[in-house]
Amino acid sequence: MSINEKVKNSNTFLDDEMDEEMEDTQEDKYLTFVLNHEEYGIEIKHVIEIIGIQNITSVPDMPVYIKGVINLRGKVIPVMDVRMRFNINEQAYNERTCIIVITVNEQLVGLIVDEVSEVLDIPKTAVEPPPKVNRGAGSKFVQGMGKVGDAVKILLNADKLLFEEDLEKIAAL
Amino acid sequence: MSSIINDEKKEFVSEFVNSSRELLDDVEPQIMALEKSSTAYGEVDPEILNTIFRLFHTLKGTASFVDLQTITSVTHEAETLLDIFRKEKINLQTEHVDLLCRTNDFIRNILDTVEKQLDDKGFEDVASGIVVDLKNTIAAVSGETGSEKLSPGNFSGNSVPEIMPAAASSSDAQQDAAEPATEEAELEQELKLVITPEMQKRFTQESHELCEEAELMLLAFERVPDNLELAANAFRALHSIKGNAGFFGFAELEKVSHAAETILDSLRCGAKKPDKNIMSAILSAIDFIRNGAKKVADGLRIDAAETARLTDVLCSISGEPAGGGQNQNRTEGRDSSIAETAGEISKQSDAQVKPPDTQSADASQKAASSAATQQYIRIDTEKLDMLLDLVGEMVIAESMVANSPDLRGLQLEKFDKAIHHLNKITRDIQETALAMRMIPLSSTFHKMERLVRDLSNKFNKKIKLEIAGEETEVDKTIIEQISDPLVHIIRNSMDHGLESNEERIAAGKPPVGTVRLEAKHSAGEVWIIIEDDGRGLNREKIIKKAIENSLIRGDGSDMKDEEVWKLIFEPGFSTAEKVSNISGRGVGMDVVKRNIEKLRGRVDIRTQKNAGTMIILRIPLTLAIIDGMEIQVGRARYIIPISSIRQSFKTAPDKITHTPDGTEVVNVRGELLPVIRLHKMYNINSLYTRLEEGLLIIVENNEKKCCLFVDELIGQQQIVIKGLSNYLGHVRGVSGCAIMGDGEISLILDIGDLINSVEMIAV
Repeated sequence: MSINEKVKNSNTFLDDEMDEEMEDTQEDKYLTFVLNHEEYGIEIKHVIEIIGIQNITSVPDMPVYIKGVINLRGKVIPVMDVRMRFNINEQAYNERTCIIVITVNEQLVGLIVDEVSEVLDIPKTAVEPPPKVNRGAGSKFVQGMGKVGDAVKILLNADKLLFEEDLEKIAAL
Repeated sequence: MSSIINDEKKEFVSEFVNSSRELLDDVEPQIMALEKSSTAYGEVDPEILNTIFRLFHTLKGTASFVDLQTITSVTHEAETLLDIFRKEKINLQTEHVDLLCRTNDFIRNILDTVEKQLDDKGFEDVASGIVVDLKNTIAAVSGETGSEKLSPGNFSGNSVPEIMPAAASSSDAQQDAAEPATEEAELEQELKLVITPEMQKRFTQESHELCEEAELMLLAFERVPDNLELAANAFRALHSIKGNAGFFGFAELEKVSHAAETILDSLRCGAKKPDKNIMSAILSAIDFIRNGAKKVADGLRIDAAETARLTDVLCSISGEPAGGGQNQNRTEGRDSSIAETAGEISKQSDAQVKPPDTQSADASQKAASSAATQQYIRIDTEKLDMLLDLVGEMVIAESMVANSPDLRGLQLEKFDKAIHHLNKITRDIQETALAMRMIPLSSTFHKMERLVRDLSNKFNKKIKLEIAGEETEVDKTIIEQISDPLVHIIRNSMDHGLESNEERIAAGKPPVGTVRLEAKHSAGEVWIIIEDDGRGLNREKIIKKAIENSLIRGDGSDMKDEEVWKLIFEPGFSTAEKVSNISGRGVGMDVVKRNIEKLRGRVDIRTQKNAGTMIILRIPLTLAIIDGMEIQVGRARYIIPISSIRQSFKTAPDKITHTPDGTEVVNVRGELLPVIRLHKMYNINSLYTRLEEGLLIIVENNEKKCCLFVDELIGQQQIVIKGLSNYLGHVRGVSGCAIMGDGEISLILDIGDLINSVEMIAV
């Protein structure tokens, strides 16, 4: 998968020595993906790898958007359906559906998205603050709006995506 | 030396340091080869000798180029010595090799400093010591060949100064040293030793071990006062501590250990009889040293007032004046000078990194290795855990290969053989990896000796502790979790279980109560048995208390004995009339239950009125790998630990009763068990919804049973327990998950949690 290579090229997680250098090259880079015909972006520094959809073992008592856990080479990783996180209608998974494995606060989580697009450079100057109008469940996860030519990518805050509120929800159950 | 430190100079120096390190690395094996050839063939290999000579010569040249006087002077002497060997073709003695190695080490140490501060000042004293030694050797060697007189005894004494951490041996060495001049140089050198954090860590560790040893010996000695050997052992341990403390310049620790040692000295020759006061004093001294060593390691200061108080107490026992005694004066004198020098050094090294002194490290290493046998190495537990994780992965991977769907239906004789072989090896590796984490229970058990001793004084009851099976090995996690429960159970036994000595006599029992601590393996479990010969549990009292604390409903007369005994583990339960400062708050036994459950173990109680109580902690041997039964509910698969499965069966409609609150109860040979429908609990579309169609599995935890309703059993297999992601938090009725042979994840059911959840509904 060419995107995975790109991610790897700009993200040398295994190589500690490279870390500092990589900080620079990771700057302003986003992995973009499609969700309900809308383009989203997530900072490349969080991304570990992209895998196709696979068997998910469901875990009881979870919020609807936590679909369960997958086995990634011996690691047990929870997966989140980002559509459902944003209250977008559920859609049957197909061959384009991908799981983006990200890490935030040393926590590995897989994000289920409709399809993965590409790795883009979006300089800070091209990022606008998120719109003030509340556009629904997804808006609190938006970090900014990235302009790439005429297109606009919705840049997500990975930290909020993973941890905002849902921990309390799980605890409440 | 010029004071201008510019970039150019820096460059030169760093180049020098780097090349010198390489040179030294080259020299060392050459010296070793030299020694080998000279001992093996009785003659020196001139080729090797030339190589070493050249290396030292290069060192000297570059050192003088960058104006490093100290290194130049040392290498010059070494070169001269080598030159004599080269020209005169004399055989090298071990002393000569040692000396060369020492020179080598010295230069290497200096290099670190040189790199930082760009000169080699501050080492003149050590250097001059080495130069003196080298000169002496040169004189001795040329004396041997030429006809100059220089006593060889002198030379051998000086060239290999003994620097031992044990005060005794170092003071012996001092006395042995013949010439005052060289002694001074030697002492100076010794005082210049710089303590590295690494050494300090070792000191703390060693002191801890020695303290434990001393404590163990003392407690044994108290029981068997005739066995003077035990006191002598304790004496030796404290003596080593004193030596180490003196070596590192920890005056407080040295003082206290010296005072304790003095008492032990008179105990071991039988001059004094051990009594409670003496023992308590020495034990508190050991505690002090243990804490002190820890404090020192954390860079804290030791309380001087406390030191003085303890020393006074100890000295008043030994009859030695607190500040006096010739012996003490001498050590103190030495000690303060060490402390001073240490202070000086630390002042000096504020701006620089302390150069590690390999020689002193060697010395303490020597001590460490002689204390413990060399068959052991210390390993970071993290590494062990990682290994265990990897082995777990390997077990999964192996079963993935063996059960690969690609192989289905194929006749593969050779492959099967190979897989069988692989399987055997994987299991062996797994066992070995697990065995590496196994530690004998002895140190945990022996800690209890101290507890029993202290408590028996406190309660004023004579109680003896018997220990058996202390060599039983258990996983490190078990050791960590078992210590607190043991303390609580033993406290409880001693406080509530065992009667006072008078009561015991009245009851016709031996006056001294016994607590027995035993460990043994039993069918995949470790049993830790705590047994006392006290009054036993009192059913009426427990029930009364339970009713008071509203732990049970009704009068409890219908409860089985076992159920009554279990009540003592409930939080907030205590039958003690009054809360003593040892036990009675009802927290302790609750800890027991929780810690043992954490280990997936269980607690059994057997008790007999007026004969005693036996508490058995049953803990599974391995924590990471279990035998599990895979079951299917709809499309979901779960694992039930085999250890909690009692039976599986199909039922008939007439065996099932529906209670008004919706609970289903099934009658199994007269036993009424509640049914948990897994599909309902986890919202799964299951194959069967009628109980008689599917399968019921009787599961048991802590002697509570219930039935799980599932579609079918898939099969039994060994699984590696993995935690569910922290991200998900705790999941009701699930203790973890496992990766199955086909790569799928199955959740492991937590039977205890499941049963509790039904009970909550039922109550």
